[in-house]
Amino acid sequence: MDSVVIDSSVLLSYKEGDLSAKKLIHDAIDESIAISVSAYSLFVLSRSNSFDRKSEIGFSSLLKFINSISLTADMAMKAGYFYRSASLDTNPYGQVDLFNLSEPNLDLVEDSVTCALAQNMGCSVISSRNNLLKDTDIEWIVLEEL
Amino acid sequence: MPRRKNEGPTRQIFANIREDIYIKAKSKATEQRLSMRDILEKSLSLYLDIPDNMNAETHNSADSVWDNSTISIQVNEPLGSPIDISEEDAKRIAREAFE
Repeated sequence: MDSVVIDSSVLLSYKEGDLSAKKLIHDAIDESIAISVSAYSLFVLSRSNSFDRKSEIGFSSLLKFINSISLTADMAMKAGYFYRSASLDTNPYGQVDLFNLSEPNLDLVEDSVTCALAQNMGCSVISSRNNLLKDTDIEWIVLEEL
Repeated sequence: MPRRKNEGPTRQIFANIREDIYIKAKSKATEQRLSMRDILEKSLSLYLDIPDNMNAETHNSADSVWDNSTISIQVNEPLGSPIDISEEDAKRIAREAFE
């Protein structure tokens, strides 16, 4: 069975009815693909104002069919290195305040965590947006190209 | 959600009902994407103790994952409340919740 890592953008696309996201998630429910998502992506997903009780029940049900991965020390440090090298121009001190970030920085943090997870698991990333990390060897597939 | 067509003979009813009940029912019907007709038919079926299988076809065509009584109770609870869903329901919800 193939194995991929997704981020919050794929889950949001699924919620919005995107057909590629629907096929991917339904494949996971049918166990023809193994999907993992970082706990950080679930934070990004659930912080939105549009995340209501139905979303909570819907995604909690979905999490029975996709693996949620907690941030280990190894992954957290790897994500930190990714973030630091990508944000060196705009953030020379490399400080990250996870709860007070602008959207582009928030995406960069999520991409760093997602890439760290994908590297640990040795699999590709599927996302609805482009990878903000330029210098990684992780395969990053944009959902609409699936 | 497209409006479900009537199947079989129907009767029209007219009644002045209490405004507070009407507003609450209308609000919940909108939230659950049900028509007032669906709600009235379900209420009258419950009142008359008509078993579900007698109107199974009707039930299936209008049913969404949120109509299940165990789930609809949980939907009305605040965000962050515990969620208790069977494996079977979870599979259906995971597939259909956002359709």
